[in-house]
Amino acid sequence: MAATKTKAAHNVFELAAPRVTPMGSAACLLEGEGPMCLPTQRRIWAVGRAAGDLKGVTDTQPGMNNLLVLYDPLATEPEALQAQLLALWIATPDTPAPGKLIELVVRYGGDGGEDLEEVARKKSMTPRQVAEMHSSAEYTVFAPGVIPGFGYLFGLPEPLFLPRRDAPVNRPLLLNVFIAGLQCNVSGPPVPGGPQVGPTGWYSLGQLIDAPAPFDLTRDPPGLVEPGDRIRFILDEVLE
Amino acid sequence: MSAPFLEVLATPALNSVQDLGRPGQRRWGIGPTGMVDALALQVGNALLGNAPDAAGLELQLFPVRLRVLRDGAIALTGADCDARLDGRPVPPWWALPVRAGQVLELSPPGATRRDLAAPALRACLSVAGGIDVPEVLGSRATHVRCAFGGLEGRALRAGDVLDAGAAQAPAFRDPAGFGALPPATALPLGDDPEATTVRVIPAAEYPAFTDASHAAFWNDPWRVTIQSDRMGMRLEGTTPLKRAVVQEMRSHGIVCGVVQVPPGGHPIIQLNDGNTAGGYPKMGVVIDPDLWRLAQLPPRRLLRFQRCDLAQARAAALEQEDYLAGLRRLSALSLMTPEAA
Amino acid sequence: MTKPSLTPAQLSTLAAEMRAHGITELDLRLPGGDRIRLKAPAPAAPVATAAVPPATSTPPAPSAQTIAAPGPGRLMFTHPARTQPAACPGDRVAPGDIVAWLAVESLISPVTAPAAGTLGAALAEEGALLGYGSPVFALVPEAAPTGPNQMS
Repeated sequence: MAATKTKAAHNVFELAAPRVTPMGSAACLLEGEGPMCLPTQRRIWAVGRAAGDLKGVTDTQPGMNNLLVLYDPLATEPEALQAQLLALWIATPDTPAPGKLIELVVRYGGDGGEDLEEVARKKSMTPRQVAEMHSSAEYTVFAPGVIPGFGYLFGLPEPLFLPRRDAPVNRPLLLNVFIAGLQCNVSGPPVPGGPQVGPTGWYSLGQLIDAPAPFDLTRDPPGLVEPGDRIRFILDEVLE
Repeated sequence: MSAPFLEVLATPALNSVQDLGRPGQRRWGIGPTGMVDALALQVGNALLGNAPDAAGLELQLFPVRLRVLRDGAIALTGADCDARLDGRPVPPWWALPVRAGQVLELSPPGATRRDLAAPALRACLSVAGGIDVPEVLGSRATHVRCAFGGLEGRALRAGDVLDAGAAQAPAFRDPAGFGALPPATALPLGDDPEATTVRVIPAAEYPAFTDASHAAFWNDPWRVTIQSDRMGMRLEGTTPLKRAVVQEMRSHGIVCGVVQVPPGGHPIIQLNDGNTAGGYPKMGVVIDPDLWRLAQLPPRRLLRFQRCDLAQARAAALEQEDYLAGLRRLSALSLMTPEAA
Repeated sequence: MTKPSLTPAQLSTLAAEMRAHGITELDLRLPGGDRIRLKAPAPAAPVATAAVPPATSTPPAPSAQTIAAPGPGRLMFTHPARTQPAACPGDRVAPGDIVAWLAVESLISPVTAPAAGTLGAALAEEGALLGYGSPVFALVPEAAPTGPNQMS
């Protein structure tokens, strides 16, 4: 997919040069330059590993071609840390990151795929065409998700690009497959007594069937997927 | 060693065991959780001579009734809930000895007393030795969304029995206990008595917003809506915040206090149970030393943003550390250590 | 008259109430048929200000008639998280009830009633720096609950 075209076509955020900006008083955000792509993301992962060893850093979290770095403001100089991160970014080359392949079976549409028809309508496609296009691609786990799960996935076919909704809507959070922008993710998993729905600006295409638990505290490590892993969605059926 | 210390006689939903949170787990999509008013917990722990991160109870809905099962000590900080111990008033921001069989009762802030100096929302109950529940991924905080941590990964309910860590509670020089100067008094901020003020460092997308949005953000009061909980709070203002150039953003990690602006223009501030990542443009981020002020904002309360930089934020963090260090030093004088008692 | 209608303690309580509320004259008809008229010099000067001891003064010895500061500190009748005082002249208090606070830096200590009784006048001003034993409130102790009347 020609990622460079998306900027003009969809007005997607893109930086000409990398930058580090404060994220409040105890974190900062490193953002890579250029279009969203895998080589940039491999550098993000590498910088994330290295940044964890910097003085005062308490945690790091890759995003989509960006890296959140959390620190103890009384244990480091925030401005110096920002400069260090930028230098680290510039000095870090693209590093291969072999990941494992995970296959996830999806039932598109119906309950849990509430937005399939809306996406199809907006793209002048049938729901089945949307499902087939979505499941034709291989996705890379770019970053951890908003809660324990399968993370932020990169690799959405460009014709399925849709900006986030203007106002969040409530959607099921039961291992549902969502898309927004050029990203894809899977919500959940459900927890006993936990919320079954939540607000999101993303579009829900379907629901996983017989999915492996992405997070299990009795496992070590507890998470199933890590950045660099690849995911294939297997089309089970399309409910219209 | 720990032993049963408190029995929950009555509680509404959404009250839970919390500590200072669960850092270092973002690679699994696990956010901080923890006490929203982390300063209240640190004050309670300072008064009792606990470790700074000892777990306590976050109480955000009332009435709450608890029975003491064993002689010990507690501290009540955060929102003033007109607490009563066997009917006798307990002042806010207070530590005191308790005896087996006594019943502690907390009312909704402002419901039974009309003389609160400022509206408040969440109370914190600390116990000598800390609430003892198993650590999960390095923390005792309840992660309600993922159903782990705290007491069986869930909110408190009637019949629950909570263990406390200290085998021997500290002895008080005065049985009436002692207290802390509330943070609102010790660390005052802002000059609008009708609004709570917090300091904000502008974030990456700040320059993308219009001049009118910048002016409204800093100068207008923002009203907290009822769509507010431990995940975050939605705000309403007269001027929706708009970007001059609208672009589709990339998802990135976010922190407590981030002020995100969805396309509708009404900001959302992320709190402890919020998502670890987001993709809305950020006007700025409330500095960590002011997060406790957000924690005490009830719906309909007004909020004002005050611009701040990294150096000012660091000074604010140091000022808060000094306040806590002073409390730790002085409360040690009001407590007799178990060895000395 | 075989016994008085009011004990001295009760009379003192009434007097304290009158002072606290600026009442200059009180005409009471009691259940036994007796009538008591109490008069205060008018206009009443604000008692609290008159009674503020200079910071350097020797603290009077604590007595049953005074609630004293248990240690040094800045006097607060009103908790900083609240807008109303903990206790007012005329309030009945039980032993251990908190009637005021003393702040030392960021720490707050309680000023408690040593015995049951009725609070008399405030004997120091809000914000005053007190030393150990400085009087905070006058206290009219309750009459011994079961003892015989002192005047009989």
